[in-house]
Amino acid sequence: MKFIISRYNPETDQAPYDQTFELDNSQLSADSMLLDALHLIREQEPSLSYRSSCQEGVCGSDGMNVNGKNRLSCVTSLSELGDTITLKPLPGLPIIKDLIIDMELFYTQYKAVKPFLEAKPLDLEHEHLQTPEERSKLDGAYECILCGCCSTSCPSFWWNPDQFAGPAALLAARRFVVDSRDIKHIDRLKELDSPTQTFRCRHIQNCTDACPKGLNPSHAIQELKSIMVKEL
Amino acid sequence: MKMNLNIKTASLSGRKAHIWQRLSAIYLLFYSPFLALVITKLPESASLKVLAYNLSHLPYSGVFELATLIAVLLLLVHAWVGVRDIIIDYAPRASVNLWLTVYHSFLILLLINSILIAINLFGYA
Repeated sequence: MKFIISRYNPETDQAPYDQTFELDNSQLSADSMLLDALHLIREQEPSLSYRSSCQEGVCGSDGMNVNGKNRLSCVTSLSELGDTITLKPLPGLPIIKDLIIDMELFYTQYKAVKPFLEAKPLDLEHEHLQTPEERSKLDGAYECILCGCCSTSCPSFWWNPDQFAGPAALLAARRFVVDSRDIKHIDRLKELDSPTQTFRCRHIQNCTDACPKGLNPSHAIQELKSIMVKEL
Repeated sequence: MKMNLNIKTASLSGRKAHIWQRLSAIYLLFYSPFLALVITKLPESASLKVLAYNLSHLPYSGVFELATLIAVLLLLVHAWVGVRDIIIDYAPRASVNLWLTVYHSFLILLLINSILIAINLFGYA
């Protein structure tokens, strides 16, 4: 099995370049994941850098571009990738080294949508109760693991990562906009009402296609637009 | 009312533009086949002037002219939002406001030109 991996060390390289590695099929099993292969390649080339933490699709640290699509290496089976696998860092953000990118802008945008509940002052005698219907509105939004696969597949985010929040942040924004316990509903909508924010999304749905958790940020952004039209 | 020709990205609306773009699209969706139907029902016209004369002498010309006036205005609104968004996305950041101002001015000239053409063809605006 052949792996073409993008390499870049800012201390020694002018630009990223591709390096090819080979793994014998006997080293891999039918249920091997891409991350398992990367661990084996790193035994050949210890300087190869990539992130991984939980190694089971929960932490979202090992996002990378695999054969042109953003994926998590730990939950991507080698059997679905063919004999030649091309690995690049997630596109659109600065490369720190090899497959590791600087996600500062991504987190800045996430932070900017205030991804936390702004509820009435906590009454220790009572919980912030929701009906099952109100709670069900949060399904499909709270499961995001912030891997960045969606935002780094979005052309609007590539072009203006400092202006456009990106699908991950807007998915989070939608999660708190529809939360029945949140008291800053209208303020949140006003802050998102801009041609360089929510309305910069063109719904090409790269984000939905890339999401390793099967979420639908494009639909969430469409919902945000509908809520703005009805409520602002 | 003072017309602002110096367009700045920060002052542009997201939601309002979104609503106007969809409203204008729906209107033009119905107006375009209506216009095509009206023209096909007319006797053959040798020139644009004759076509305008025939249109202005329809039994329901008042309704037609009002519908056309609304269509022209909404077409300009639709074009403003569509190309505005393209400029915001694609123009170099430093010159976005300049391009928006140029485009906005161009649409105003187009509106004035449309009024002059209407006066010329129909004899009144």
